[in-house]
Order: sequence, then C-alpha cells, then structure tokens
Amino acid sequence: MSLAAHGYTFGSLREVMAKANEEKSGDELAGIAAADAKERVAAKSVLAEMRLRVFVEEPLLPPESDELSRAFLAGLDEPAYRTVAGWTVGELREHLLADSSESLTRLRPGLLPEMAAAVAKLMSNLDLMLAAKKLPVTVRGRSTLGAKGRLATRVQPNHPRDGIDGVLASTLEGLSYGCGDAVLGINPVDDRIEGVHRLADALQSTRERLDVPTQVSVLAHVTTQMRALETGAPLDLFFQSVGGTQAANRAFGIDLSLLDEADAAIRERGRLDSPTRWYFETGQGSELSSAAHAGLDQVTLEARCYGVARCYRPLLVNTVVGFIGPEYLYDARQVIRAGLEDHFMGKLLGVPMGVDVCYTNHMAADQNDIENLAVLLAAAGCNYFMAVPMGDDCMLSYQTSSFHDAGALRELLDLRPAAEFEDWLESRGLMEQGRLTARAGDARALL
Amino acid sequence: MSFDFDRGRRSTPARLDVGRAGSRPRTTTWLAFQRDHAAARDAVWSEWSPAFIDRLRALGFVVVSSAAPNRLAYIRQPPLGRQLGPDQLDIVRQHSPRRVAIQLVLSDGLSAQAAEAHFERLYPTLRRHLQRLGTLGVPVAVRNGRVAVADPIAAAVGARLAVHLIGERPGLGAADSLGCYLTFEPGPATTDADRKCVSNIRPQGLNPDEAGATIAGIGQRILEHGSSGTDLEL
Repeated sequence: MSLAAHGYTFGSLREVMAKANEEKSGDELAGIAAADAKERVAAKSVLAEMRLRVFVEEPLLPPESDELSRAFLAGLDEPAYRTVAGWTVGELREHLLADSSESLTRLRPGLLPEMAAAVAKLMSNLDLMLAAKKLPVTVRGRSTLGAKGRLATRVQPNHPRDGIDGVLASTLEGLSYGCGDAVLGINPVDDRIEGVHRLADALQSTRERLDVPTQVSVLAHVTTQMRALETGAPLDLFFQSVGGTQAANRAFGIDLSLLDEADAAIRERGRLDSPTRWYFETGQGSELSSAAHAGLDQVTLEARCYGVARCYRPLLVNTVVGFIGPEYLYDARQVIRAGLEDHFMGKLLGVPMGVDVCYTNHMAADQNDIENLAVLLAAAGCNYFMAVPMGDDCMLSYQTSSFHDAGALRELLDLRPAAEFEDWLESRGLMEQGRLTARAGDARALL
Repeated sequence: MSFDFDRGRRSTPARLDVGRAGSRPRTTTWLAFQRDHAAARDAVWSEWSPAFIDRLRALGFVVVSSAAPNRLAYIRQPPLGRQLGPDQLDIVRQHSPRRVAIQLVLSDGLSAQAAEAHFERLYPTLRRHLQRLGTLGVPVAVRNGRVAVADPIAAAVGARLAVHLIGERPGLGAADSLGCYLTFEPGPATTDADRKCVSNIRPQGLNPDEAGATIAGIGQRILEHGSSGTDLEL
C-alpha cells in the first residue's frame, strides 16, 4: 500500500481519508484537514489506488475497541465482498458511474461504510447524484417511499411548548399541501413519557380519523419512547439519533444492545404492520461535537452512521445536514456538498435516505441555498424532505424545506407523492393528476 | 373531523395560513421571512457598541475577551470562545482579590444584541436577589464568549456558583433572546450536563423584569442542593 503521491507522503490510511475530503470546517476544527488544495488532491490520488480490501484488513477503527466496527465486519456478505475486494477505490467510482442499477444493487452487502466514504471523496457532485439515482431504496409502511418518480415529505409540526392545538394546526395544514407521506414526526420539547404519549395520541388519532396512509413518530430519546410504548402510546416507529462511533453513541445515551432491545419492542408492540419500523437521524460533525470522533474525518463517520442504520432495517433515515453548526459545515458550498455525499453514501449502503436540507442562522447560508440543494437531491432520487410551515421551525430555531417547497419540487421535476398518499389526496380533492387543486393549502379543506 | 383550526393557528408561532401563489409563497410572506432571517443574521454578527461597554463599566463590570480574536474565529472555532484570551484571567483576579460565593458573567454569545437590549432591565433585580445568597464577585463581561467561558472565571475567584447570561442563537422568531446558565462549582471537568438553563429571556418570552428573580430562585435551589447537575430536578 503506497501512501505517497505528487510529492506528498501520508502517515496512515486515516490521514489519507481525512485529507481527501472536500473542504469542511469540521475537519479543520479537528486538525485533520488537508493543508491546501494540492495536498487534498494528492490524498485523493493515493486513495484512488487503494484496494477495497484494505478497509477490512486494516480497519480504521479497530473492532477490538469499537462495537460498530465489530457489527459492520460481522455483517459483511462474503460473496458480495469477494467481488469488490480487489477493486481500487478509483475503480469502484467508475463501476458506480458505468454499471447497471441491478449489478450495483448486488454489491451493497459487500461494502463497508468506510468504502462508501472513500469513494464519495473521489466523486464530483454530479457523480454523487447520478450514482445515488441508480441505487434507489424502496421501503413500505402505510405508504411506499423511495419509488421512482415519487418524492415524499415529513410533516414536522413542532411547537415551542408542545401545544396540541398548534401541533395539529401545523399537521393539518401540511397535509392540505400534500405533505406528510413519509411521516408525521414531531420533535418534543418535553422528553418525558407523558408528553410523548400525549403527542403520539394526538397525531395518531388525527391520522386515523382522516385515514391518512402515513406513519407517526415522536422524536424523543429511544428510552423514553420505549417506556411510552409500554404504557400504550400508539407509536408506529422508534426514532433515534445515531453517531458513527461507539463513543458518539454513548454521548447520545445508546449502544447497540439498547437498540436491539428497542428493536424487539417496536416489532412486538409498534402500530405499524411493516418490517421497517425505525427512523434514524444523523449529521456530519455530531461525533466531533461530543469529542467522540476518534480522529476520523466527518464523512467517514457519517457513513458509519448509515452502517448502524442498516443493521435495523429502517423506514426513514435522514441526515440533518445543516443543523450541527458552522464549525462543522461553514457555508452553503459545504452544506450542499455534504448533503449530496450523505444521500449517496446512505443509498450505496442500502438505507432509505431522506435529507433535512437546512441551515442555522450562524451559518453562511440562506433559503436560496437549501432550495438549490433540495433540487439537486430531488433530481438524485432523495426519498423525502422535511415540510415545515414556511421552512421556519419555531421550536428548533433553524430553517428547512417548507410545505410550499414540496409542491414546487414536485412541479419542477414532475414528481408525485407516495402512491397510497396520492390516492388519499385525490380522495380528499386536494390533488388531481399529480398537481395540487385549488382547495389545497388550506387546512379547513380537511375539517 | 372537528377541530378549530383558527384557534390552533393562533396558538402557535408557526407561519400558518399564509396562502400560496401556485406552489410558492405569496410575496408578502416571502419578504417577511427574509426580513426575519436578515434580523437573525445581523444579530449573529453584531458586537457590543462602545456605549454599551461604557455602561457596563459604569455598572462595575470588568470587560475581557475570549481567545477568539474576532467574530469569524468565534463562529468557526467554538473552543476559542470557551477560554479567555492571554492575561485576561489575571485581569479578573486583580479585580476580585478575595474568594466570592457567586460570580456573575455576561457574554455576547451568538447575539450581542440580546444583552444590549435586555440586560440592563434585568440586572438590578438579579443583583439584589443574588446578594441575599452570598458574596458577589466583581461582574465580568466577555466579548466573543461561549457558555463554558464562565467556568475558568468563576473557578479563578473560588465561586461556588456561576451565573452566566449569554445571547442565544437567533431563530427567525427572536434575534434578541438571552439565556442564563447556572453552574455549581464550575471547573475544568464541568460539562453541559452540569448546568441548569433558563432560556428565552426577552419581552415576548420570560420578561427581563421578572427573569432576575427566576434566576436567583434557581441559584438558591442549586446552592441548597449542592449540585446543578441532572440529579437536581427543577
């Protein structure tokens, strides 16, 4: 294994991986980024010649010290791995761009998260879009998500005090805009069992009364959801934020055995009749924010989050790409890049990726930038986006995609809601031929 | 289904019932959004005016700087905002030669405007209430400070309790909101789980006139309990 190119010599595979990344403020903050553009491309050149087997034979994060690495290696499919083991990372890039969708799909179980991260570092934005488009991940709850020609959304009806009337007003208006086919998913302010139970009751009873083919999720800590489920809360899915190292997950208050326990509980008592009963959120930089990055770069760590997600067959996975902060992704250029990388890596690893295209007010980004990212991702086959009134989350104080954006993206790119949900919208007179009707956009149409 | 949508709409700050132009927002709605985002952005990059710093000094504050040399470094490198710049701790020590019980710190945080707009309304009440709980150190104001910057300041003067008011990250709904973090016996091992927080201090949230008593009340609970961590339920 050569670690030199263009007059640069690198000390380790880990260093090559970090320096091959496109510019990210988080890698700079961690002190592992390339010093300049020439060193960056030298690292990419070294990486392009690496054989994929190196990631199995010399794990970046040793399985002895990290349970995620153990799970990833144990889950690797031998026959699929044998196909790719001798390929270089550069060759993998070319296969992803040239080969058929069917043959690429067969490679998935033979790929480690680190391989997905490595190849992403060699790909342009358009490469990332094109390859992701060839790797759709279709999953079924009450609605079918990720199918060709479909674009779904999560109605995110957050309220600064978990006020039920306000939550339902946002939910109903979202539905009237044709949003909510991925999930009705609320971030609670109050992470206690009673609060979670109350929100789940309100959203599930609304969903049932209107007979909406979608799912309900309350995004509290998984341990709170487990207790709420035990007391009868009508949850369809379990939600949890995940990180890319064992230590990052400890900072989130979870480990794999806890997720295993939760998995058994939601399969036994969850409301949704589907093999897919999880919702995971991720985001580049979260590991560094809890000082649990283990010296790895944030793209590699993000890919490892998808490695965790795929162990549990999720219905929904999304990166919250611009939420973690400007110290990890400083500006629109970095957020757009990260959004495309995350979506691609998730799809390559076989998880049903959506993206929260978003920004905080201390980043150098605005609504135009995330509209750009949403168009790129929708063109690349992204499963779903968030849908928030005017994109302004009045509880989490950040901006994301809106009810209006969902309609506009579908109109622009000729995409439709999830099939079951489109039928429901038609039955309610809110959609015809895939376009919103005059009645749409007013919650009173559902009352 | 029966539901009073108008009542629901009035009970949330969410931007509901705004109509549409085709699939897009109406012009006035879109401009209102941009106006609020502009206010939030400006708040992030705002700095305390010389006049405000003069008024802080007149109130007895020592004004120091974090290790972040400017706003850009402050935004991109949070660790710099968590420590004081060179010699700044000596300045604090010079002004507070004796051990104190409670150390008050004010930082610009992610909205310098927040302190400039509301701190002076809050301060007299807060000071009066805190004085009843123990000796107050000379108050310290930090430019380009983050939450943890109060820890070394309070530790340097031996304070049992740090009370840190800081501008919160602006949202579109509010660009001038103050937060207050209370930490028992802060030091190098302190983490965010060891703090109690009072947030959304502004006229439309927790009124600055009332916030002083609220903060001091929590401070009293912390001192009585001997902890500001997760074992203290408020």
